[in-house]
Amino acid sequence: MLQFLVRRFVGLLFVVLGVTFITFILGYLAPSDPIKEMMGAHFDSQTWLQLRHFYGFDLPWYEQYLHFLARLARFDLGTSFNPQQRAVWDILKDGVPISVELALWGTVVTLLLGIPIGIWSALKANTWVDTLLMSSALGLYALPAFVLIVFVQLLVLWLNYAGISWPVTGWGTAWQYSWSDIQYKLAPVLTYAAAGYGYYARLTRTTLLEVMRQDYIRTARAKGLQEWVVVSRHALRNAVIPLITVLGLVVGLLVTGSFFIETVFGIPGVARITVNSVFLRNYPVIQATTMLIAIGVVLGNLLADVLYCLVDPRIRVE
Amino acid sequence: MQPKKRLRLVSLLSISCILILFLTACAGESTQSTQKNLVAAPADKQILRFPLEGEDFSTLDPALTTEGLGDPFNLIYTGLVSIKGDGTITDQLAASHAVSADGLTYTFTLRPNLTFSDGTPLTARDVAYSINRTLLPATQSNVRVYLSLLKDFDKVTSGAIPTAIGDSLIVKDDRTISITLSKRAVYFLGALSYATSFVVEKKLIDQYGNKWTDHLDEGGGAGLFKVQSYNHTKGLVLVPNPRYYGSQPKIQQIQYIIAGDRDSNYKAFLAGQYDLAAVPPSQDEVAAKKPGYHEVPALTLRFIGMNYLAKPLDNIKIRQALALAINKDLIVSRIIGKFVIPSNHIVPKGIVGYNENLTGPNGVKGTAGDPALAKQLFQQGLQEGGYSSVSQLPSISLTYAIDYKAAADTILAIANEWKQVLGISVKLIGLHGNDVTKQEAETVGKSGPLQMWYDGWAADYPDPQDWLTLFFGKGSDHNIFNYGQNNSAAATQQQAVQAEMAQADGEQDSAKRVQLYRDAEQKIVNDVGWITTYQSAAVFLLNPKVQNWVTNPMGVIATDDWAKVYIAQ
Repeated sequence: MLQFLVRRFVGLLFVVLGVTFITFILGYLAPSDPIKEMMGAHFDSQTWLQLRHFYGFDLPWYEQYLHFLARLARFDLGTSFNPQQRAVWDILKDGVPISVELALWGTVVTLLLGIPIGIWSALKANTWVDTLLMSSALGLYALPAFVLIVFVQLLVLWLNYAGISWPVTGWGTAWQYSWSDIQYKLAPVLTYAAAGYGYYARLTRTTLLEVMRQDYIRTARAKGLQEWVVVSRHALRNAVIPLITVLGLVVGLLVTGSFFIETVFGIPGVARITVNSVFLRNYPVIQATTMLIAIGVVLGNLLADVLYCLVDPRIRVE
Repeated sequence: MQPKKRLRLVSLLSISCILILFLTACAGESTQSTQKNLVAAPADKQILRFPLEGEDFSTLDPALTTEGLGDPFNLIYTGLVSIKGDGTITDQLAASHAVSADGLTYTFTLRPNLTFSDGTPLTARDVAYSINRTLLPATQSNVRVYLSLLKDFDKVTSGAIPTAIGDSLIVKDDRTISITLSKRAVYFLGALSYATSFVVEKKLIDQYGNKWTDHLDEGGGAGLFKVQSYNHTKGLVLVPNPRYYGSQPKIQQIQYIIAGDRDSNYKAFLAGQYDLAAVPPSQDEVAAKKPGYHEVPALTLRFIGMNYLAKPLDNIKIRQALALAINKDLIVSRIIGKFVIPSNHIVPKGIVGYNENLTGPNGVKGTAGDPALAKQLFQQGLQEGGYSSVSQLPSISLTYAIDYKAAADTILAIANEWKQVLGISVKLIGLHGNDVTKQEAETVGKSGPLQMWYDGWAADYPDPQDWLTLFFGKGSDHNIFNYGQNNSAAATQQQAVQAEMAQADGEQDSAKRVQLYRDAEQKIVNDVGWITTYQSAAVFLLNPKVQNWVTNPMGVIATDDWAKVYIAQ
């Protein structure tokens, strides 16, 4: 196992290097000039030249990239253009915990809703319960997040009209759970969950139905085991492997996966900063968040591999 | 509050502060929200909550901000002069000022006993330090151009001389500072009212370096309000600064809250979460029936730029034909909305020197265009240019920002009008906003890459120079049109207009100065320096309980007018 982990972490280094290089080259070749963007209409050539020098844009591409790597080795991710002159590291320190909090709670609620509903639907396959549950799951899954958010916000607005004071936007304090904080967080978390639960419900149902047709399930039933034991101990454990695969990918996108929700609800997480940075050609932030996604995806897959072993002892990481 | 900022959606995204956005847009004429004699709510209810659209402030450092005309900058910090409620410039930290006979030296005497919000005395040395700090290369200010009138500006900003203190900034004693300019410029006080000249506390900057604005709760400014807290994920909270030299405000707290997008903030306003919200275009009709609805003209113009170095746009008659083929009234009513104003002006309504009697090209009155005259001028232009027919014309392209839908719609409609009236097909090129900005900078002194482009401009300070000399002056980085420095038959006359504008910039006699600018504006309009489409406006909802909300023509509440704002019961 240790050898496996070491191998994966070494691989992670190469993935990060590759991602940073591709992001750097794309940014370098892009026609836009971030300094001109930052200066806006206050353009004057002397200031432009000085700012280009300050941010290292007057160097050849390979020197720029080597400087980036040298800074990276010192855990310095550079300086943002907008917000101006702010260390990228500081921006991530502020934004990542909030994005992780949103995505984590959203994923927990997604799983708490999606898996039981998927199981129930599988157990009631081809009945009206199944049809009802899967139709609603499909409906929510098909609904784009930005449409769902509008519905949720209108609902909150109606609550206010009905005399129940409830915030429409904002996030409260990260990782704090006073009543006020919960009020802020509930709508975004439920929106996140509603958008994703349909996928997990349908995936759980499909895989569980597949497993329930296997001989060993028939054998378990023939042995006279209770149905919930058959499902929880024999069926679900095998059905959960595809879910782990998907979860591994989701973990990788925990930080930047909720752009719409962060933007519309006014949540100061890193997903919104990332997309805004693309518009503003804020390359230091784009580099950092791309790297973050790459690390997340690799670690998420690593986590999935480890979980496979725990769930199914037949799988060996070696 | 977005001075010198070309107006595109990308900017809107990058520009995070909805309040700033809407206040900028509120400009043009003073606007007032007051119901007289309403009783003020108790002190603990005197709280204003403003949403910051999308994200944190780009910066709270006045030396770096492109949004430094109004709040929160003019609340936390203050400078030698400021813009009053009526749009004129007044002494602020200065008790008085005097201008030397040659118009090159401004001497300011500070009010007595000034202090920063933490109690540290504020002297002329702090004023000099703050202005000099903006100029120094180490500050990396992207807006230091506001101070470009200072003597040896280039030398200080390039590092050729280490400081402007003792050179263009002379501290005579604790209360007296003189500032020397490189040329006579009456608009200097306007430029000085911008945030780049606001006084900052050296002690805080020395202690925390470029993170000093994260510690504004410890001091840093000398404004009407001081910072109670600033958090990059929550926002900014201001409370009255008890050490402010003027009247104390009735408002006891101003919260700038990091919020969602415009639609969400509008809903949050309706839910009572905020006291102010910009109205999304889709909600305009509904919002218009609500109390607190404001529809205000802005000191912002939209225009089609045309490069005099690009053929056939070097022909004045062809330019005039293009201008007169556009029915601006129709475009505004059908595409933009009735609340903006179709215009022929370069200096917008609300700026001193606005010319009510200005006519369009060739003396045409009104903004509906003149298709018959346009056709006639176009034919004359073709002959003058040696083109036997429309098909012989070099291809013309018009570049616009695709991120701003109204611009794209406007341009499409205008291209159709040109096709119908003149039979000319203009190639439309949609680019991202910042790519258009990049191409604009590259077009100065060249025949490309831009031939025609669609753009906008918001006032920096209430002076015609900010619209005329800045855009059409000789040697200006903003003269993308290459007005005056081109090969057209009108180039000599245009150079005379440039000289006229330069004269107006330094003219101390206000009436004469206005007359010079008006004359220059009319000549530029006749030569179709640019084609103005309309003067913008903004619509927003303000909590009807907020009283004495009076903005100046720049669209911001003057520093001292903030003291009068209160929330009624």
